[in-house]
Amino acid sequence: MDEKKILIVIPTYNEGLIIGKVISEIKIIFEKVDILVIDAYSSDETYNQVKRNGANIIQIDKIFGIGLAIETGIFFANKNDYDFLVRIDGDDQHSPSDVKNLLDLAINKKSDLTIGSRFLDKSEYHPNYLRLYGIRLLRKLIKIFYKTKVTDCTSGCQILSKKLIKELSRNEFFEYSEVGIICVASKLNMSIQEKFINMKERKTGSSSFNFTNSFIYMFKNILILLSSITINFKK
Amino acid sequence: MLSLHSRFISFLIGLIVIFVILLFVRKKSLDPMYSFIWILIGIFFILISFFPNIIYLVSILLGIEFSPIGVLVISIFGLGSIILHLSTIITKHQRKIREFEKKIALLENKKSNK
Repeated sequence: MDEKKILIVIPTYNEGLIIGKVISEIKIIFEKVDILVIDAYSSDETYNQVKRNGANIIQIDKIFGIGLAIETGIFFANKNDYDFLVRIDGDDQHSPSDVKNLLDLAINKKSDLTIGSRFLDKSEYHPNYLRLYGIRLLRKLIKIFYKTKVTDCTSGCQILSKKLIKELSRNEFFEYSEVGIICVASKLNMSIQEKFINMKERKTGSSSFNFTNSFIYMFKNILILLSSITINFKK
Repeated sequence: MLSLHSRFISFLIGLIVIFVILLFVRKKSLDPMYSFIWILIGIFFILISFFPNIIYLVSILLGIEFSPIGVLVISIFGLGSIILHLSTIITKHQRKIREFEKKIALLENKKSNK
């Protein structure tokens, strides 16, 4: 099998305590891989930690959110001709060996969007009730409107193929969100695969979610979901 | 009917609005494109001062008997549409800024890796 060019994108904000460990673990498991950290101008040691571990880092202002961070990753991947873009979280919640399995699945089955689902098996992930029911609602809506079965539509671990990357960077109105990308992929009739991935309890740093912005997040996702129904992508 | 006094005030307001807007455009603090709608509003005030019957006519068309309410309804609708228009402009700018941020970040990255 020929060598695939793989880019790992890690969005971070103030993950200085753990990011070094995440990068070195990835480097052990994946032999040949490029790591791109997209940092929201962290006020701690993140930048130096990443540089010290020999990974590429791009800084994007926090106000644009995680969406723009991933979009930048997609843009970068398209420019440098990567075969797969792996998006994982920067807080050591996804274990690299799980991600490796997921990537193997993506390569073998030639799937365009591969999602690491936290709900296919028993994981350590316990979201608050608002988020849990929100995810269930989104899952139902995706099934109704897009006829795609996805168990974990807000997972932070997604693998994008070259075809999907190309399609996304061509569309200037695309704004990344975990749900939005599922909508786009199923709209384009791309293959979507899912596999269980464990999500460890967060040890350092703080999650970008709290109770109030869970509401905003869900509201935004539902809007994105409903508004993408009518979007037509040029062939 | 509007009294002569209030017609005069309406005329004055119209003139002031137009004057201020033109001043803003001249000082480059307002784009001529966006000044258009404000000048229209000024002209509307002046029109009312000359033909106060417009208010009654429009109110009747809207099915409102008490004409001051007609004025309120129309101004709320007008202001609402201006705000909506501004929101679309903000969205457009936001998208542009996002794009710039993305490109600048990538350029900076390229520079630092050289």
